[in-house]
Amino acid sequence: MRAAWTLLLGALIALTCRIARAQDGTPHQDDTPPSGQAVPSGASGAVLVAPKPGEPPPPAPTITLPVLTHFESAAYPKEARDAGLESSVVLILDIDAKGTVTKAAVAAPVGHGFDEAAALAAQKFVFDPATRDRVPIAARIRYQYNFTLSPPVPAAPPVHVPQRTLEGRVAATGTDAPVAEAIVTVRGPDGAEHAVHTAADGSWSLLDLPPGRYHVVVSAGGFRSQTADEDIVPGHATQIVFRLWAETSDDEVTVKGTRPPREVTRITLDQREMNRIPGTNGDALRSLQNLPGVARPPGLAGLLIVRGSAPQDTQIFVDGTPIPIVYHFGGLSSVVPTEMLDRIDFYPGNFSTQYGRAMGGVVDVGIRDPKHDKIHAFAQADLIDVRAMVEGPIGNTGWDFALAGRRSWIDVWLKPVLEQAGAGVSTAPVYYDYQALVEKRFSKSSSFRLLFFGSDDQLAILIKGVDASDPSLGGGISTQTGFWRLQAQYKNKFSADTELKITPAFGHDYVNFDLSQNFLHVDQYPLSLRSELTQRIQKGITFNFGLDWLYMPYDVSVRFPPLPKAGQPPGGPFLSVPAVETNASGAIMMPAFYTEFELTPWTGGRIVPGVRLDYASNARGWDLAPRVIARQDVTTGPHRTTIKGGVGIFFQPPQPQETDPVFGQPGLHSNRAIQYDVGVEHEFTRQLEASLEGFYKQLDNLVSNGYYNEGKGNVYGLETLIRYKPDAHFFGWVAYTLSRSTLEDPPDFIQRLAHYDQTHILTILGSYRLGRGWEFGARFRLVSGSLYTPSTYGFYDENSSSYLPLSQYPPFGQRLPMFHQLDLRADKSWKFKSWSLGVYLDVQNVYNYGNVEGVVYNYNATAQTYASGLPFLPSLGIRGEL
Amino acid sequence: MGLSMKQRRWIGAARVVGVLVGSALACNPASFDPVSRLDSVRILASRADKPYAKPGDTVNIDVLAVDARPVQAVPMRIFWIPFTCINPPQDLFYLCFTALGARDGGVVPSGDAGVNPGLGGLEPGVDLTQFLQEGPHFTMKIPPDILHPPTAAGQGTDEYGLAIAFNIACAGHVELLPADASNRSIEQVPIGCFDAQHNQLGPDQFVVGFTRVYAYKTRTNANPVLSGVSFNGHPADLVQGETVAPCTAAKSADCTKFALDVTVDPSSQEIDPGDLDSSGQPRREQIWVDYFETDGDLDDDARLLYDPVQGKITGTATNYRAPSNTGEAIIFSVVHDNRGGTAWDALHVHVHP
Repeated sequence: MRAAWTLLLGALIALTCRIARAQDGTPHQDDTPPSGQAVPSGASGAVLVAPKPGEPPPPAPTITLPVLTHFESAAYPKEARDAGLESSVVLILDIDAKGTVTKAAVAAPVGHGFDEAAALAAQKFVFDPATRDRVPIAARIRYQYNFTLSPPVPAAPPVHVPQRTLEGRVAATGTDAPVAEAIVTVRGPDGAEHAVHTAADGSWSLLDLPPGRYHVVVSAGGFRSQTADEDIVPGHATQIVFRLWAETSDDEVTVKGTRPPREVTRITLDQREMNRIPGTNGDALRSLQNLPGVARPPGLAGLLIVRGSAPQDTQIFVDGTPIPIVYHFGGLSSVVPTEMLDRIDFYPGNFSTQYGRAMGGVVDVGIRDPKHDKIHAFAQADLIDVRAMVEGPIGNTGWDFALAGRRSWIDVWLKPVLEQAGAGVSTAPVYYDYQALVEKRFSKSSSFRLLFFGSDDQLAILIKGVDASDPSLGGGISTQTGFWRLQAQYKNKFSADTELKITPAFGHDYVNFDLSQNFLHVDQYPLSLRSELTQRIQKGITFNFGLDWLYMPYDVSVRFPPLPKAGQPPGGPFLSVPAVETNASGAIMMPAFYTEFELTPWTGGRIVPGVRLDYASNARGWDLAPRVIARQDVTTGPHRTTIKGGVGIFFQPPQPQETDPVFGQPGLHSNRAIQYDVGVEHEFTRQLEASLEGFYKQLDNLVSNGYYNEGKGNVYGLETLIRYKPDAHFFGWVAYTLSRSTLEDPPDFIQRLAHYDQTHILTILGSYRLGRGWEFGARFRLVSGSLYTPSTYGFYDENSSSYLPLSQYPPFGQRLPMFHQLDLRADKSWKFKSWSLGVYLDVQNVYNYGNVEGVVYNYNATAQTYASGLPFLPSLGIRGEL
Repeated sequence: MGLSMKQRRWIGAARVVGVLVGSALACNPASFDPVSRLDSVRILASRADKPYAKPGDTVNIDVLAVDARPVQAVPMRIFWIPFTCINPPQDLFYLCFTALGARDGGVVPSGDAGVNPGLGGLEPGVDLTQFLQEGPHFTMKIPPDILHPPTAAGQGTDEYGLAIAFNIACAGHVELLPADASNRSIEQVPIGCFDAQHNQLGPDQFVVGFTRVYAYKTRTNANPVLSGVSFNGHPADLVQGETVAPCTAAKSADCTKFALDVTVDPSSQEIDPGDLDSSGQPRREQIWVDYFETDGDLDDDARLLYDPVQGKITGTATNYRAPSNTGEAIIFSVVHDNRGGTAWDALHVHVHP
């Protein structure tokens, strides 16, 4: 409430009349001489009527002033000219919603014929009308008409209507609240500087700047300054939206000029939202699991399940380069630390043609630029891991760097705990990840970056007490998964219309899994190249063309019993069936090309048609995937309402081992999904927004073990998000997803629920800053139970002395009880002169509810009980930052 | 390009193992009786004299079954389905039953059983005793043409064949069961155990077991050599048994622990030609022991004895704690290798003050 009044007051102040400068002599840029005899000139302002006492203040609107488009010269009064008099007449102009002056009244008469002449001329002025939230409105403005005597000029120059050449808006990041009185300083190619203050609605504009490249600096009290370079081309008004970070923000994250979405739905999380969601230990990528469309993963599974699709159907990218895993062991943390992130873009479906080879969702993680003002560093430790980072400029070379690393230390403290507890196993998993980055900015529009990053998870144990139900699960067990990438990135914005981005990368993915005498060893060496050229053809038409190329040599060594076909239960303990071994090397080539047009044919409308062409050498075929999305703003401004929709085809090539002649089926084609989306977004206030989206995915050509591409299925549902974007104190949201995911397996095609189907997913979270460095947050989740396959009493395998319970078919026919959990988080930070210190307590499952994560059977499946998930789990962390 | 589905599946399996291990360490959510506790009709193991047979061999099989019910109103009987299932599709044992009713298609009579009567045409409710072979011994004839190339096209795997025998431990008689309409799985138990009034008996009085015998042209496998059982730090007297005092502690965990271990000759860990390490060298077998007891408590149901990579494992003993009541108990030690080899011993424990 108080914020709304503040905004209104700011608007009133900004709209107060400004007096134009009257002059005699060389015409000023804004003061076009209308005739050879006199140089009347003027400028306008507007006033708003304050709300009546007792009326609730309206939400801060977006208001633009009337702009004079036709100036009518007044006849210089003969009496005054003869007497050599000059004067200024202040007029009150009423301008209707069409821009016509309906009334011109003299505020303070000056006599000598000036009043009548000014009023008569002003009646013929024509304006671009004032707007409120882009809707034309009537306005009353104060206009000063100046009468000055000037020497005659040889010829009357044409009337010049000032043109907006550079304009935009300044807002606070997260809240999107306008920042008034921010100073926008523009330095042109000739070195001349122009400065303007933002209006109460954060808007600003500069008129009649000559073409060229301009360096723009925005500064405002309480906010960090921001810069941008923009090209001004003749005939175009260049628009820039700056979103400033408050000085008190925890991390510096630059989000500028957010490009309009090329997808039906893109959810971008604010840095504070990523850091402060309870139950995530401040891990940005874990915060994804709270968004609509994302299912709750089974306990400690560390999976990303989007719209009922299997985890492997969702692709994870780091700045456009695919990576194989997103979370460390057990989902304890993600493989890219939050501190390195610039943004997380999450596309639950119907994503742009720039992405492919996935039927589920897409997560694209952006790595931020290193800080370049000085050396910065931080270190953090909690119960799970320790991490550190250092970044800054490399001398005066123009290069910046960042180095970061993290290692879990569960093994350090868990080992003595386990030993003291008398456990037969005293080894815990170890994970680490690392990032190294150097960046050079050649100019404000071009840069080069080299990024090396990777992750490794290991666990090696010797279990002497073998599992009586499957002795193969005893003995030596080791698992190691990891990857690294060396990524280069070159970006250049050649002009206001042309931009190029090239991202080549090379790396190594590895999986080593040994289970007694069975093993899986996989090494992949992906070489990828992603390149996109963006060209604005004309106003309202932008063209994207991209290359998404992947070449992946691999070495695979597998020794396992063959997997049962679809619909078949397991054949018993691993040792009951002769293992099959294969050693293979090869390479898979997956080139792809895509094009996309971004069309804005009318106000508030946006249509993005595109097509993607993929080839997968192991599927030996081309896949053509047309897609189109459309968005239309029904209303604009702070109460923006947008309807949106999309339809597209998405292919996912078979995985390399699915076409392996030993373990897979040569001759497979790509899996296919046709996705349909329709939804609506509405902003109630600048902070509060809501969205509702329905989706339907038709799945076919699904790879089915033993039955080639005969599998099919569908997923449909509704997603809602009511989100309060971060302001100075609070952020939070309510996300609810209602969905159903089914599959039909050959040969009988019985429709069944997919493994990761979750009917209801409700997440409510919020975090509030109390001040003095304190912040408290809470998250509550209510989710349908996971599916499981019931077992019943069966056979006894005498070769292994173990019972083989029978599995129900179709699988996943039973659902566990509903999951609900409350998590709390408290943060306290201290800021010192040169560094800051923060501690947090993140408590999961506050009321220690025994959520069911699975069903545990006795040795012959004649008795069962539930296995519960995480108990009450506090995690204390400390962080120091330079 | 990410990891393949199967890679992720195996990673998932690894994670499951980790979670299972973690869960087991953190707390045991279930209060089930361990698999080692014998208080019902149980089959523990079967032992073939030729765990790896050759085409044309005759293989003799013994089954170790125990009736540990406190009350044995009707004695346990052991039956064998008198056919040998040969090379079921994909080596899946439960696919044998689709062939059992058809008289042909992979089912051959056992040993000298003569005419194969088959089960086709029989209806649920009929006592099958006359069609079954009864007793702890079974003889199967390995067909001369049993060998076939590996069905899964595995590279480096020799031609082999698979013969499966089914047996039943039942405190009553055996009848066919109607198909379970609520479960569309092809894996169903087709037979049940019934009392004289044709009431189906539960799992405590009925077990259907099976044993596999693989046949290779040249590969052989011998049963592990169980040369002794140690009890409380000394070789156990398997003839006279061991005497322990009943536990008087309030909690079993506080009872006196008697170390229990088995001695398996190192020669038992044979080379497994089918298990090659990353350098192509064959590794040795995995050998473990399963323990069962009719009274008292064991710390472990099973212990690893030899690992294909680690070799002989040290510290393999587990602990036995006597029951609070006096009486007689039996501890069974069943040693397996991972190629079908089996050996067992029984140790009688006299629980007296």
